[in-house]
Amino acid sequence: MKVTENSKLNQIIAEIRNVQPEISTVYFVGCGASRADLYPGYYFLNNNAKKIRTSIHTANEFVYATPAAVNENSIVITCSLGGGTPETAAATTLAKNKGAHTIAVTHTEGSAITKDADYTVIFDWEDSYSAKMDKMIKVLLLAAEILNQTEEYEKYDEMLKAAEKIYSVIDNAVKSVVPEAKAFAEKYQDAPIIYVTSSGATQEVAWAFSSCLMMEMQWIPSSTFNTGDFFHGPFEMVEKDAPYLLFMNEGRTRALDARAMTFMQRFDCKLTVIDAKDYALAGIVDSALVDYFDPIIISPIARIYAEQIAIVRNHPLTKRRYMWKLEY
Amino acid sequence: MLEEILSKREIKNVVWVAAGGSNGGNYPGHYFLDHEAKKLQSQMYTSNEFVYATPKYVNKNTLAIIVSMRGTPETCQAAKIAKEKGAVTMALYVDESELTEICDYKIAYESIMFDESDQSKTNAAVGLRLAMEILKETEGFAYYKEAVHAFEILDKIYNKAKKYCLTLAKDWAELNKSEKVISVLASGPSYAAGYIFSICNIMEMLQIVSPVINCCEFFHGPFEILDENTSVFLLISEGRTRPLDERALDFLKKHGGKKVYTLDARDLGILSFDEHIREYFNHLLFAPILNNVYMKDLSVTTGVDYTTRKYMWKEKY
Repeated sequence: MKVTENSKLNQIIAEIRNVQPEISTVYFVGCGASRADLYPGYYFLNNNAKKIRTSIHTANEFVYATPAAVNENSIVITCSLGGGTPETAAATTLAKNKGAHTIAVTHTEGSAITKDADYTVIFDWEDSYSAKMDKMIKVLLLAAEILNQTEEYEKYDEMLKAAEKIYSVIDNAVKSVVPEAKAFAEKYQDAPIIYVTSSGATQEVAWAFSSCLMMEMQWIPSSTFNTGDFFHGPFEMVEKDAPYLLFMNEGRTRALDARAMTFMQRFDCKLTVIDAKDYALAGIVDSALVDYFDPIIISPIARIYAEQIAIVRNHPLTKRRYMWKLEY
Repeated sequence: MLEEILSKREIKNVVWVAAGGSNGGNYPGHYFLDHEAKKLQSQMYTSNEFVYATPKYVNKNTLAIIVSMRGTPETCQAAKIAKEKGAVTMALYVDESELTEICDYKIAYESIMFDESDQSKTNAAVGLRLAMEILKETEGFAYYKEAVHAFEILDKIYNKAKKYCLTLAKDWAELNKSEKVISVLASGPSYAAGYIFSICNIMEMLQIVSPVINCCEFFHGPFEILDENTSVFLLISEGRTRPLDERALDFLKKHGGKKVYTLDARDLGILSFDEHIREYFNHLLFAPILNNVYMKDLSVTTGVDYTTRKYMWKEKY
């Protein structure tokens, strides 16, 4: 298996544009954690594009209710770690049949999602926490390439520089996290429910922590929502010792997260904050890009929190009742 | 109103902005455009995301549809920003507020909460109607007539559906009266009906924990929490995504217990609408039925008064 070099991603987009100079829509399609890992790229593109239209879909919705605008002017980026997710493979095939330009992002060369992909991007995974973020980083870079080549992106060079630096930043950041992750694990091990919340590009990191790490891998019920919507419903669940985990962005939506934090503190919730600001992204990446790197620094740290709660609860992250065991 | 707007400028994108339940209420209109429009872009935002991370594309070619019953502060702020960026701003509202002062246009809606409301005039219905009108005026919409008819009969269908659910909802509420966690499953055009039921009805009004799960994503994580005691409320939509909800149902039947509950849009009368457009009307039946029947019955059996709040409207936040 050969990991695709980040410097080669621009060629993929250039080749697509040689065939089709008019790219008007970009779709991000996946399931579960891979869909969540597509989100920062989607969020970046939606935030910065002036013309390109973009949306993100869970694979089966994309297959069964395909948007009318999927056509030869579309790029469809699909993502699956093992590459065998049947819904995502079907989505790739369907997109290709509609004439769209398909890019499969996977860890597994030759896997099902690559079959009908015009281009395959192989990401790193096993060896480090930064390797686990290679998926999210590559998708973000693909989004930046698309934007830069179609509309020009004034922070393009800064984006490439930031992506270069971020791997070592992640591996440094995770070194100091274990004690606080252990404290979280002790404090939350018996929680009947865990609320996980964030905003901006990190919204789906919260979703993935809630849905995959807590519900799937720990069998702990978990509720997740955007800190912006928190004050319009979910905050009525706040009470002394209610267990919250807040992923605090350093970027522009920090105000939303800070407002939620203040409220949770005021009513004595059991609150743990993973704050991107502790890792001083602003000193490392261009200030206009901090928003998009927030999820990339928060996600590996959150993973260590999950690893520690798995140890304390004696419930390995690999334990399943249904997944991979049953037909469904 | 739309004709006037479109005669003055080209609309290339629609942004839907609101907070909480109103944000969820924007989903049917957004979902319709996201799926049917060939060119027009549609995006929805919770108000403060729009305020703090305003997308760069918002300009004079943008129609901003901004929704709040009484003028939620961050929603008013979002309207100001949309206007500053040159967008045409349209307020959907119940009570006049700063929001209706800021916006260029305003359309009053009726709250889904009240029995006397006409369900074809709620925020979600007005939003969907607007989305359909915009598409018709810009790119064309082949089933416009069928859609108009659907709006005409919607309130009647809703009232029948309400009667149909009366006993069913009481049984569900009885079974769930001591429940600590109620998970809501939905997908496709009904996802936001599930979201509103979860965050506004169950969590905000009744203070019961309620994760909301997309039926497709259920199989990529959340299904591991399921055992024979789990309380699950599954919405089964009519339309192209129905097999996705049925897949979840099959699994729930096999591995869940007696607290697996399903509400099927077919039983609510969705088949009365034309087949080409009916999937876009799922939300308009589900959301008011969940709020006005299921939530209220659960309020009775749990003894939690759904009109009181601990924080909302009381605390500063």
